[in-house]
Amino acid sequence: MVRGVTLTVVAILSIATIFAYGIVHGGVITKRAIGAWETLALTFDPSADRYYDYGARHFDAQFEKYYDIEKAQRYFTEALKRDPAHPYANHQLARIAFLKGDFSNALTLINRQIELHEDSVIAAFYIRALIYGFMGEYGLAAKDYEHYRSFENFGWAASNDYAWVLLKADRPNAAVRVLAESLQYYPENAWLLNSYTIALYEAGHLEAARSEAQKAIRAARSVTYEAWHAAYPGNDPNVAFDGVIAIQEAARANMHTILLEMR
Amino acid sequence: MYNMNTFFRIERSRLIALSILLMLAIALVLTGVKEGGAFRSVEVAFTDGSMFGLQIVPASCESNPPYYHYNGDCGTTPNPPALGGCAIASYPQTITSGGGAKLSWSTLYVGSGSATFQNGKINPGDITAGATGSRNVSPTNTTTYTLTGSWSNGATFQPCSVTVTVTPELPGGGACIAQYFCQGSSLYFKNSQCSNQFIQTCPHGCAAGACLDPDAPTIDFRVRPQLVRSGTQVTVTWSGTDLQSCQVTSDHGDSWSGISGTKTSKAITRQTVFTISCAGELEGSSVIDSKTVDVIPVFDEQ
Repeated sequence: MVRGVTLTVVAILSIATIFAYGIVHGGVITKRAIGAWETLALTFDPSADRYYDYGARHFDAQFEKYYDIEKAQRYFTEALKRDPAHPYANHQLARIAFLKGDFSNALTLINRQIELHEDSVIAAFYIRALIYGFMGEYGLAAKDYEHYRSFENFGWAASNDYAWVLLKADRPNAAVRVLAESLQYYPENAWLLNSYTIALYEAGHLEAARSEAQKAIRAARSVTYEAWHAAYPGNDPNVAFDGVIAIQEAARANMHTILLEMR
Repeated sequence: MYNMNTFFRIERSRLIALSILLMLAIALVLTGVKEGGAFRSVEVAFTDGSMFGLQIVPASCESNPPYYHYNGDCGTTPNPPALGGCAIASYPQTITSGGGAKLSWSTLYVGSGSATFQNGKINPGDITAGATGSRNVSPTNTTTYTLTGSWSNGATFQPCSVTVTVTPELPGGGACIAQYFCQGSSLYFKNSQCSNQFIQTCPHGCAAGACLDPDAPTIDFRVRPQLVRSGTQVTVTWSGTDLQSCQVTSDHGDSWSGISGTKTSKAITRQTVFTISCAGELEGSSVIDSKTVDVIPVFDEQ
């Protein structure tokens, strides 16, 4: 009986210790528990869909404790092994490669995605346009943005990013047109306002650029971490601070450039 | 003498010692577990310099494949509920009186067998709605738009709604919104004090508050006649649209320039190719054409 009491007390104290540690360093415990559960679930159901769903869960900043890009990559890879024609696995792996800066691999993966599924996952063209843009292939990026926008002509990010490659191609008037239309529906969007500022400036409309720059600065100040994560899905929950600072500093720097020009 | 009190004292001591050792062991194991630092992707804090050195900030909102991104945050077609039904969104959700919004919707059937969406309507407005789509609306008052319809197999279709809020006040408390606007082919700028300023006449038209880009260049290049006797001259004419400059040459030594023209060639004594090369007003555009003039052979009877 004494030994039984001893063991019970020891067990309770052990659990209490783990619990106390969990409160202080909750992420580790939660991640370990999630990992254990996933391993167990996959043992009983190692299907492509389950692997994909778990991968998607670990690739979503909405669930901070779950975010793990390496695990997401492993799960998506497993999903693809089990179903080489999975509708989204190549797409997600391409996104991960892009975020890691491996543009060559990202391009290979997204091309495979497009080859398999063409326009049925139209966001693949948006991803490929992003990859091309980061590679400096602005002409190819523009073509993919145009194709994407022929299906989804309303997303603000596609308008913003299309204007980016138009500006890089020295077509500010076209960028003004794209951004002016999009701003009708997203008048407070910091990214659109920042790009519109630049397009107006480069099209030679300094006063208008200054006016939009002021709006861009105000809008950038209002960007929350949640809004930043919505604008950059798939990124680590803990980097939003740097991202928000970047749009704010860009808006301020652009205003500074405009004011210098207007002196 | 060993009695029960001694026994319990010894056991309690062992219990305390064991517990402390176990807690230390667990703590050591757990503190040995390292969490990685935050993953910093290439797009965090990425900016790209424009032609004049301003900082462009691309985003990637629409990266996710269907059904996995934040519904409505990117302005793309809203995701229908995972269990089936419909979703309808408005961008923006709040407009000023006289402004417009875009309704965007999608439907999804989840149930036994398959079914297609039919008899779709959005009211008020009696807007015919397909399974997915968008439509501009300009309500004068705050309005709730509801999508109704039915499934082809008779299953129950659950309607969905969105409210567009109309506010009579301009953002910023009554001041004008600084913006460009068109009047015919003229571009104007209205500042926040509601004063209009003429900017320029757009050579290729004006729309959505901006001068339109020129179109791709076209040319009409003619050489007449194209079959001549040796020693004959031909007439070369050219004109086009959205041209910046043209150069016409022949492999016989002719050379002219101008965006249009009518010229007489040198005497043609052999097959001659006339080539026109034009640069368009649209940045980076060009157009090329060529025409061949043949000489009628002379038969020298022996």
